[in-house]
Amino acid sequence: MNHFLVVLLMAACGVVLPNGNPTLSASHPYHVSYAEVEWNPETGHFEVALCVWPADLEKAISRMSGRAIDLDAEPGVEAMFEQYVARRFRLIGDSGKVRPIRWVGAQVGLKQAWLYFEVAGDKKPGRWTIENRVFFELNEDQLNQIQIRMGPVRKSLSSTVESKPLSLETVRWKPAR
Amino acid sequence: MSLRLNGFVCLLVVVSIPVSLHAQAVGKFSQQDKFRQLEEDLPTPNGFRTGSGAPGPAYWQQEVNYEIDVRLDDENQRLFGSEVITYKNNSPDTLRYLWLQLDANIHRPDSESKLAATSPGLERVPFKQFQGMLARRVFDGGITITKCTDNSTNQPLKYTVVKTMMRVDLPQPLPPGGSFEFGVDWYYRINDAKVVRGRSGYEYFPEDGNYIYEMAQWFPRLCAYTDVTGWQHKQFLGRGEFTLEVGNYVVRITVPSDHVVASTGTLMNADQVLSPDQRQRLEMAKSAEKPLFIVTPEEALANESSRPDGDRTWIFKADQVRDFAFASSRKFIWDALQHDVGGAPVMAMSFYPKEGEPLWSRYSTHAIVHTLNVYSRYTFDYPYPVAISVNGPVGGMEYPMICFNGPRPEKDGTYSARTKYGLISVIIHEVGHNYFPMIVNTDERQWTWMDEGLNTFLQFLAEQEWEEGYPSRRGEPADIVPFMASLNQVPIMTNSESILQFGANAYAKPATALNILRETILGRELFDFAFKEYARRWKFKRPMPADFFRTMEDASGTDLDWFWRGWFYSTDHVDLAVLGVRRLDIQQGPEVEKQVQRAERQDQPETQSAERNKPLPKYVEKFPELKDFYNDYDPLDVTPKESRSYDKFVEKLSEEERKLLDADHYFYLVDLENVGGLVMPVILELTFEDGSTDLLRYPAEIWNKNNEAISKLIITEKPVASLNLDPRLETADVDLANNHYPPRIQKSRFELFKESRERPNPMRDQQIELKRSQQKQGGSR
Ligand SMILES: [Zn+2]
Repeated sequence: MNHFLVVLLMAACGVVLPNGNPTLSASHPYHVSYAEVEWNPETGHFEVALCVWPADLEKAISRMSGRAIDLDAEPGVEAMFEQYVARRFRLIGDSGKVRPIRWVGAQVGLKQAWLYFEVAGDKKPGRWTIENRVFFELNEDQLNQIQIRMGPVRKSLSSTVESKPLSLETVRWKPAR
Repeated sequence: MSLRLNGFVCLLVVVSIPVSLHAQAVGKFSQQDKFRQLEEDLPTPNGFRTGSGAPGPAYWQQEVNYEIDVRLDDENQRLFGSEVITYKNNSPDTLRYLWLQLDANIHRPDSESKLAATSPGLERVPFKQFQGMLARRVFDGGITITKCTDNSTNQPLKYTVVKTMMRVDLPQPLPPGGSFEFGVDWYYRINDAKVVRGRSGYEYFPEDGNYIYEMAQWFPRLCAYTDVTGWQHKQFLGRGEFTLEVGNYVVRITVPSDHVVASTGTLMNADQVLSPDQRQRLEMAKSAEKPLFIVTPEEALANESSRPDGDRTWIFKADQVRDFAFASSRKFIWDALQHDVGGAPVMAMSFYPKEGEPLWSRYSTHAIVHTLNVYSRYTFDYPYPVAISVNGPVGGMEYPMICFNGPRPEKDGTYSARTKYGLISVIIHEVGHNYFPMIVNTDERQWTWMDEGLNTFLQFLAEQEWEEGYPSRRGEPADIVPFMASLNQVPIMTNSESILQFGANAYAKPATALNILRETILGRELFDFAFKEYARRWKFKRPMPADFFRTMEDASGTDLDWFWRGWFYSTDHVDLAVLGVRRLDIQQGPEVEKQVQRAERQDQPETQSAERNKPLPKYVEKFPELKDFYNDYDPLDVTPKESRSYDKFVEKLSEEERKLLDADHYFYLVDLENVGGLVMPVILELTFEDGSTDLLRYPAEIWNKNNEAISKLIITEKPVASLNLDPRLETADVDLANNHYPPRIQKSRFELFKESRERPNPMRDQQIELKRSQQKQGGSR
């Protein structure tokens, strides 16, 4: 089995305040999402588990569909999640084409909502641009953390309204242990 | 699988070897000292603040009293004010000028907050933000000072406006103990809080043409002058909140005659502004079991279409507060419930428009009462006569006795579970701020965590006492893990305006750290005693971080410098790992011991010199009479005396001890590594071969000689099959994959979900149906 290391390069993002204009910020901001992204070299897919604050998700889906949606009472809500995620979480290959996502499922609680999906990648190593813009339309201080995993190797990235898309490269990796 | 790994090692030999086997220090000892004392970093104790963390014998703070007349212009959304400020100089210093805060100037188009903000990548600006940016460009909510005079002479005072601050030059220097009285008149345009967001502003309801005003930072307020920084000199940039002086207020609020006013303080002229009905209902609320309406929903609805017959002035008096806020509207429904806190009556009250119903009448006042109960238990009795929660445009903001909270149900009156818990949580949080920083008067502009962190910690405790399994967002160690593992972090001990990841850094991390300190490091009893002592010492006073750190150590009798250093001064995270486990065997009696020692001696390499010296002729061989007892003596032979003394030793043992000696014991050396850098207690769950378990706890000091890698000897009576570090997720360990022995493959969340997905889940659709039918009922109740 081939192993690859995911090497991450943060595009000239610099260090910027996650909070664009402080007068805009809510009094008690806590707008954070967290994604685990694992590249599966056997299938070439990126497997994503995205953890969000359910109240934010409810707001975002309601806004997208133009009506109030209760995550617990809405039939077919997962199709809406899929539609939302496809717009806001994008992996772009070298050719500049946005790769399609394949929905896997969701677990929605009161404290956390986990959204699971795959993004079609390549079996060969390559360069990727990753965009995670969930809730940027709701919260100007939104911070989206992304953890890239390959076996025991972990790398953290973060994405804010102000940061540019993040780039990552999958290259050959030999097992560290 | 068992842990029979290594063969025959004698315990007595092993324990005599230094414990650390791994850390090969570069240089003499290259490790950072995680237990280095903090005193060299903390300010030197003095007469104002002692080394124990208490206010010192020379502690002082300024006193500022306000008498204010304010008029709300409901036609043009302006506020006109006139105040008389009495400034009492309790400091040992002579003052030549006073500094005031003009927070409304943050709404000037050229304010520093707008200039200092970095630009977002323009292709991605959300519409709402764009609208806000444009609105702020044209909106001028800056304050206009129309008068500033010395009250004793009625002469104008020289003043200089510096952005969100104003310096008033005193006609004569103000000596220690002196007082100065002066007047300021001002007005400003109130911001539409839905467009130009802030901590204050109005909301317009186009359906009925009415406004809700939530007024805060609305009057020129004295900056704090302290023993630590002198004049507070940080401009208001929006995020760092306030630092203020405690004082007494009388405020006369003039509003349209049909408005209802909610305010900091006690209403002094109820007979002039409330109807006889309302006064009677307030009286009944004093002995009610549940919240009572003072203004009913029907009355509020009728008020929406009324027109004022002139103005009415509401008079409020508030003692020992550091700020003053109010709300006003003809839309308000008003409910109240009197509650005793430590024997003193507190009127808990909520004000909200019909848009807040049915959520607000159901939960707001109850959430206030619950907050007062829980927070008072962990700190001090709530000292004020009222506690108020208001619904309006501001999402969540706190002032003395009053706070503004945003959540509302949908237009049709339904609400999701998330909206409900969002409302309860924000009310607990904002009412809770009465304790920190309104009463324990910390400098929010400098240290956000001192109020937000402590408050979020108590919020977690209060939420968990609201109902079982309350979905608290912050508090449990596992919930801080993604943040702790992330990059782009600064320590908690960072100035408010420079904090990255604000919510996680200033709210969630300190709250979680305190929860860990309480549950895992000190235990509830010690922690609660020390925390209460901190609150007691600094009630109505102004503590600094060192005062908190020192008091918690002083009152718990525990050196916590490593804890503050790791959690508050560093960006280290917790990641402890089990590297390996080695089984040892114990030997008994001198014969067995010496046999082992002989084997060890044999294993020693022969040195080069010894080998080369061997064939050389020896002098004593020429004169055998020089040889005596010692030439044949082997210290590793067991002498009869040694045998006797061992037998004697065994004889002297109690029966219990002898049993212990005879019993089969198992000895393991567990090799641990500190990967994340933050030292924490080692919590080890042992699972024995027979399936039973045991939990061992070692304090963080286990790392005090080597904080990178250690070995710990554990003794058991049964063979151990496996080990699990931090089995109950107490320490916010960011990587659980390395917590097991034998090592376990940790599946990704994605894989686990995919596997679980393959099992059918017939309950799900049913639950959706059930939830929908409950929802419909809930909304119409
Ligand atoms: Zn707060």
